[in-house]
Amino acid sequence: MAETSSNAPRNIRDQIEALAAKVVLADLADVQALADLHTCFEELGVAAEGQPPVVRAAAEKAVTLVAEVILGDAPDPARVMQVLGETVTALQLIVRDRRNPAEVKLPAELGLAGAAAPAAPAPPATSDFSTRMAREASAMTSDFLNEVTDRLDTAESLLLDLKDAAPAPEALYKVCGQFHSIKGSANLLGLQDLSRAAHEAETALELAASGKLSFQTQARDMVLHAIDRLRVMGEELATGPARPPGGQAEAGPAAAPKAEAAAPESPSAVPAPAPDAALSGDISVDPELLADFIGESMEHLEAAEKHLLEVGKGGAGEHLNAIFRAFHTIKGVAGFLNLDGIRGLAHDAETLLDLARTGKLSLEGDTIELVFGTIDHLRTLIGKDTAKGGTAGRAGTQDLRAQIRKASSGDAKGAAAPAGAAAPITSAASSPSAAADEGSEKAQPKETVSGSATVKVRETIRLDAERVDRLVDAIGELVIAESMVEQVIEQAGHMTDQLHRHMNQLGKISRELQTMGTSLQLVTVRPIFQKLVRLVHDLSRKMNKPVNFVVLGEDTELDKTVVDQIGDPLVHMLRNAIDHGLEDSVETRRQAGKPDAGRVELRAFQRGGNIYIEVEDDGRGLNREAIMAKALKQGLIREGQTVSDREVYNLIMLPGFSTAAKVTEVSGRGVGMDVVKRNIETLRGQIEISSTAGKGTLFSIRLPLTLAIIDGMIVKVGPERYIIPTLSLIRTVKPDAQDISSVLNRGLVLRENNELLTVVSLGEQLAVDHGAGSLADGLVVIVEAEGRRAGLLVDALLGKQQIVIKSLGEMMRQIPGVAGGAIMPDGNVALILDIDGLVRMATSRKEEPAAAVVA
Amino acid sequence: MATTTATAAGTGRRVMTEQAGKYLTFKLGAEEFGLEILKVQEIIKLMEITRVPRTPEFVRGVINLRGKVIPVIDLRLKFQMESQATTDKTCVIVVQVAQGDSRVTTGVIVDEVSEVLDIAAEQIEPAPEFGSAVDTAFILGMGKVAKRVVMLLDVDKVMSSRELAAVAGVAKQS
Repeated sequence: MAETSSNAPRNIRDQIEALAAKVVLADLADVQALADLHTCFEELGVAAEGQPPVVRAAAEKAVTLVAEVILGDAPDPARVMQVLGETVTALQLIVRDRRNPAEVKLPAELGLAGAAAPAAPAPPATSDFSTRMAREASAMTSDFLNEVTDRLDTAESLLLDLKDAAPAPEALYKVCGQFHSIKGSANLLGLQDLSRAAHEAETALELAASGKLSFQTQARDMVLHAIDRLRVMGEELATGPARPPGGQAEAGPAAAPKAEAAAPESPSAVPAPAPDAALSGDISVDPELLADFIGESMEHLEAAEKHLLEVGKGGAGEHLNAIFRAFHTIKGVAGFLNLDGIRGLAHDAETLLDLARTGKLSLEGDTIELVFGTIDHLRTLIGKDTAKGGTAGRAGTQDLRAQIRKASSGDAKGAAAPAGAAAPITSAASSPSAAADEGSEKAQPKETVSGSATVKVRETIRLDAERVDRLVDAIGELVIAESMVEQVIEQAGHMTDQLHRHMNQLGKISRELQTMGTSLQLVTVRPIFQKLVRLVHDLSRKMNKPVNFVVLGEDTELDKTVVDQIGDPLVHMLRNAIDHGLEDSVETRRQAGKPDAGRVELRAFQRGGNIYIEVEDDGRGLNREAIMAKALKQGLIREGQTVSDREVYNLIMLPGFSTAAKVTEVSGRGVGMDVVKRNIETLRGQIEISSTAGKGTLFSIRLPLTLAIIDGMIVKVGPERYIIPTLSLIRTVKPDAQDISSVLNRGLVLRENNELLTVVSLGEQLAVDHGAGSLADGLVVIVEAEGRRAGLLVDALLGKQQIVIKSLGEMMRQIPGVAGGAIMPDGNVALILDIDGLVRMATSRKEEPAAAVVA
Repeated sequence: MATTTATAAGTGRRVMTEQAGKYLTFKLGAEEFGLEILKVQEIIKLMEITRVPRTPEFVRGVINLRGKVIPVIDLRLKFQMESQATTDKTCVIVVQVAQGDSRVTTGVIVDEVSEVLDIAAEQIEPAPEFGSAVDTAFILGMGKVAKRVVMLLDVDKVMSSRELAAVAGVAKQS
């Protein structure tokens, strides 16, 4: 960032290129990066002298958008980042490729209409644009917009599914068909921009199918780009009229982003075709999703109702937001599930609420009743009971929508104008259908969610996670109680054959229960992985690095908590892999004899009781020397010290090491790797890096299958027993006396296969009353802690066992060396050791922290 | 009525009014203490305690309370009294201690549980001051019952954040 500001008048093209990378890499949570973006856009605005005016206007608008994100004012920051990305792409086209600004599509959120206002970014043009759009929109039915979004989503998912370098022509034609239909309808409605974009995509696909264009390197991106553009156009059509008619110069651009941000999902989340398909007939809807939707929506409606009751009792803003979100979510999912009636109604309600929360409309009296009515009606539409009441529901929906639109449009203009007035209507998506309302009833969606006999909805129950936890706890108790009973019977010598059989039966049932309980908390990694596919694609395009992204093991199941938290680290790792891991240019790769497209593989699999998630690239690998040099400078290692590869790579995950920006450039890796490592460790996982210079890097995350149960080795230390998680266990040795040597009479070192390991006496570390001189007859358990090996001196091994982890409670949460407790078969508690903590404690007292374990 | 007089007698008095109620009394050596009955969850026999390293001496360790692992405090050690061998009467009072917004279940080892007493506001005197030598912050008041004096404990303060900080502190030092 500092580098940019010191160099303000540098080539604007470079600035845009730099921006392109920064936008992609910017993390929403990273204020520093956002501030950097802010500066870059500002400078771009200044440097835009001599460029088409739209460049400067776009840059200035982008500055505002970034500021909103930083200040937390942006309702949907992720969307804003997307808009910024699109903006930069557009600017690249204008500035670098010298494209006519009139042909370049700028995101609607900027409130600059590239197409309609070639060289004039001034707001009046925007109003012109919106009025034109309003006219056009009013001539259409909402069906067209729905069709576009549906077909685009279908096309996109088809496209992203095509993994081969040269897919079969039939597959491509299938995608092609989607665009062809869009083109046809767009032509019919006189929407030249849309038609042209669809045509381009169609052409690209045809060329790819006939082998005249590489799908992998060119056609796919062209088509995806076209999809994005078409989406924006569709959104513009939908929201254009939402702008206040003849609004103030500033009002246009300012209002637009809000409207956009409010409805980002509606056009982009509709995968299924046939916009007016009744749910009952639409087999493409996943029954499971549908069941989820019903449950979720009911919850959202309930919450909305609760908040609505609070409106007027003060603190309205917060409640309005909550209600808005509820409708927004329902709208998004309904759109996704192709339930247009519900989506439309939710959308209208959302628009009304948006007006209310931005102070353009006061929510009181009749309006509140209207929202209540909407909630009730949505319930009816969504609820199971209305299976047969479809027709009544439909008529009601239209009435209600008309009313809502009346309310919003009336107040939006500050006067009670009739709904049919010529002026544009506030709710964009609904305005086309407003016309349809009066005209044809048939154009209206006609569905109730579960009114179908053809779709078999798989029954699912949404449960309070805590109840599941309690169930799993109880099952754990049952297992413990069972083994206690067994132990007592055996000790008392009362075990008869019959009793034995019954005990076996009991054991079988409780094991089954345990498996079931565990599986209740498992979900697949698929949703996370799917998001990453698009991320990688965008990254690859932005950074101009072709990537062959391979995803394996999407159906691998993991504890829900883990899945929820693994996304961010993976995003980080993939960014790293593409940004730093892969070579900077195709030429470099060619010289190294590698294919042009960098291979990045994301895979998940289960091995033993662990889940592995790995990110592997075939890039340049880690630069060992650079890391060593940096570590030397920071005093993490000594001159001349031998350090194993693994230890070197682990260095990049040390906090101060990776956050320093310069190091990143040197080491070529490590942006926020400490954060990744920390996140993984809180999930009780471990991360390992292996790398071969010139060949690539592998990040391997090892995670426990569940967070509740671990495999543990029970060890005896003096009179007490402790549990060592087998995750950290490597092996156990019975050392000969000459293998162990004392260092300065303070520490112990074990010689093992030419490796010197620090030996930590558990008795000493845990202050156990240790009777016997354990060194001679003790055992050394070799463990791995934070990538380093160490030995733990114990008296005996008592056996391996599945352990249900129990927290020691708030008071004892932070005791170093202790990770938790477990209830043993005899009913007493044993402590689970925190191996990393123990080894760290034992070694950190010494003068050379790393040296002791570094062989 | 009582409230008016109490208020007139000063703030200390009024606090005492609030302290009236049912108390579970127990003994540590010759001294008798009371715990607000509302904070008491149950009374259990002393069971095997698992020692936890790096905790202050008065933290005896953890026990298994029907599947839940809870810490156990030795109140004698906490009050710097001499520790005593366990007897048949030694037991653990399980209390709910407020910690910030949440409640933490903790066991307290006492010599013997006596009875549940109803103590009226008139029977409660403010805690006496013994200078800095004796910390009486965790004493709500002194209950005068028949001829005995019962020290009414504020169990939240007994396990105050300062104490917990001490736990953490010890943990960090080592």
